[in-house]
Parts: sequence; C-alpha cells; structure tokens
Amino acid sequence: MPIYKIADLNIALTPRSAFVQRAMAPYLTQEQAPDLEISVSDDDIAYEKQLSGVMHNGVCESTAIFRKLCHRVLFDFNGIFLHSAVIVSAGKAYAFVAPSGTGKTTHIRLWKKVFGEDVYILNGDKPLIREIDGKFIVFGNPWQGKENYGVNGQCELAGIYLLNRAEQNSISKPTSIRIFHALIHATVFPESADGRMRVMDFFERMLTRTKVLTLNCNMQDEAAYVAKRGMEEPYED
Amino acid sequence: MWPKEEWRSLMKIKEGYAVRKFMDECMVLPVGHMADKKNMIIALSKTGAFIWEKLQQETTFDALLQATLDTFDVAEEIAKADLEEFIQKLRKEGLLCE
Repeated sequence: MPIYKIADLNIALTPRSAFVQRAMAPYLTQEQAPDLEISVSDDDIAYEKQLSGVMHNGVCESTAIFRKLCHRVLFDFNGIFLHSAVIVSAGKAYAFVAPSGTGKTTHIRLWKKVFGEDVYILNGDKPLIREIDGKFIVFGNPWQGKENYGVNGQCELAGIYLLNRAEQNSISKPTSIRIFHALIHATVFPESADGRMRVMDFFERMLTRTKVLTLNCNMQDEAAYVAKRGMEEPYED
Repeated sequence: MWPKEEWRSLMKIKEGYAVRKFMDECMVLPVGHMADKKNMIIALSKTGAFIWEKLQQETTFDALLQATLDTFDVAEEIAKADLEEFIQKLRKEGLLCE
C-alpha cells in the first residue's frame, strides 16, 4: 500500500481515483512504517456527496480522506485542521481566518504582490497544525482549496489574523469570545464533549504561543502593510 | 420584577451543555445530542458561572438570590435585577427546564 507523509505522519492509503492519486503524489514517501491507515468506502463517498451536493467521485473521496485524517490527527496526533490561508514570512507562519468568501485568498495574494519573494503561501485553505515539542507547526498538505495555493512544507505558527472586510485598514485586539467563535468555526468541532474539550484545549495551548489580531482590511496594497506591521508591534489595548 | 409566585418554583439547566474556561472567559457550549447547535455559545460572567453551577441541581429564584448575596458583595436590588436578566436569557435560549 502506498504511504504518504502528511503533517509529519506516515499515512497508508490506497487512492481509489486518479484524481486523488494525482493530488497526493507529491506526498508519497519511501518510508515503510505507517503511523496510521486511512481507507474510504462507498458509503463514505456517498455521505460526502449528500453533504456537499458535489457529485464528482474524486472530489468526494478527497474530502472523505481529509475528514478521516482530521479526526485521527485531533484524537491521536495532537493536531487540528484550521480553515485558513497561511503565509510564511521571515521564517514564521501566519494564518488568515475568516468565513469563506470574506477574502482570505485575495488578501494573501496581496502579500505576494507587495512582499514578493520574501513571502510564500504554505497552504491556501486547509492547513493542518500540530503541537510538536511544545511548538505549533503548520503543515502544507494536498488540500489547498480551489486556487490550489500551497507547498509541501512546514513552518512554526506565530500569528493569526481574524479577517474582516472594511473600507479602511486597521488592526485591533479581538476579545476572547471573538477568537473562540472564529476558531471553532474554522475547524471540525466534534459533537462529543470529549472532542469539544480536546479542540478547546488545543486552541488554548496554541494561543499561548500565537499572537491573534483582528484585521479589518480592504483590497488595496496598504492592507498588507497594515497587517504585517500589526504583527510586529506590541499589542495596544 | 420576577413574579413573586414564581420565586419558589423549581428550575434547572437542561442536560447537554458543558461549561469551561477559554482564555479569560467562561463559556457554555452544547455537547452530545445538543452539539448541532454550534452557534449557541454563551459567555458567562463570574456571577453567571456561579448561578450556572447552582442550576445544575433543581433550585429556585429565591435560593439563587440568597446564594448570590451570601457569596458576592452586592446590593440586593442589583443582585435581583442581574439574576432576573440572566434567568430570562437562559429561558429565551431554551436552556432551563421548569
């Protein structure tokens, strides 16, 4: 069975479709000992079709794999999926969190335009974050959103922006409740009490090492400068 | 004002909610069979968390008010108004069985 290395885990998985095989190919590893095995059944694919309304077998297989992977990562490998666009700047990763359609992708494109080769997109849509030796590491993976922005790489998380669209660019310090809402809506929040506590524990630990800012931004170049400067400066209460 | 005749009627928080601290806030969140109500998250103040804890068992408005006055340094009129507002909020969210 092929083994893929994703989020520093060796995953034994046999793709069913050419679509998934192609998407995952860059993550193939020669290592032999799997950390986990994932298999997707007809029922799993039917479930994803029903949930999303998407009828493409490959796409639904891919979503089913990702759902299972997120579950295993949360419960067995101290990690989480964060719906966000992650950019790397000066060796540190920054995640932009917002509901779909707010403009995460537009904003990270702005960073690329403004800061050029100094920054790169680690994952444009569905990065995995794991706590390893007390550090929170963001991992690129094959699930990169419709624009398919991202690389097979990893970087320590240093900051999170909660993105809002606005006329004027500004940053501010969000309340705990705002952070909480934004984060749980950006991950798979399990139904069980145990699962929910696990997610909240993870986020709490993550937040001790991560600066979180609210970023109100428009689509002009200035937005990227304001965002970057906000992270570099100390909090203003 | 809380109707006098209701001061001694019993109430309790429904099953399916967990309270926990997140950063500096105390949060109520639905779990298990209530878990689909993802958006229904309530932040509790210090007094709110105290009342919530008391409401894990059947209790009355009267008893809650007394417990609040015994625990917090607060004027009775203010405690009563705050308690009323809090209980109405729980009611509105459908969190109480009465």
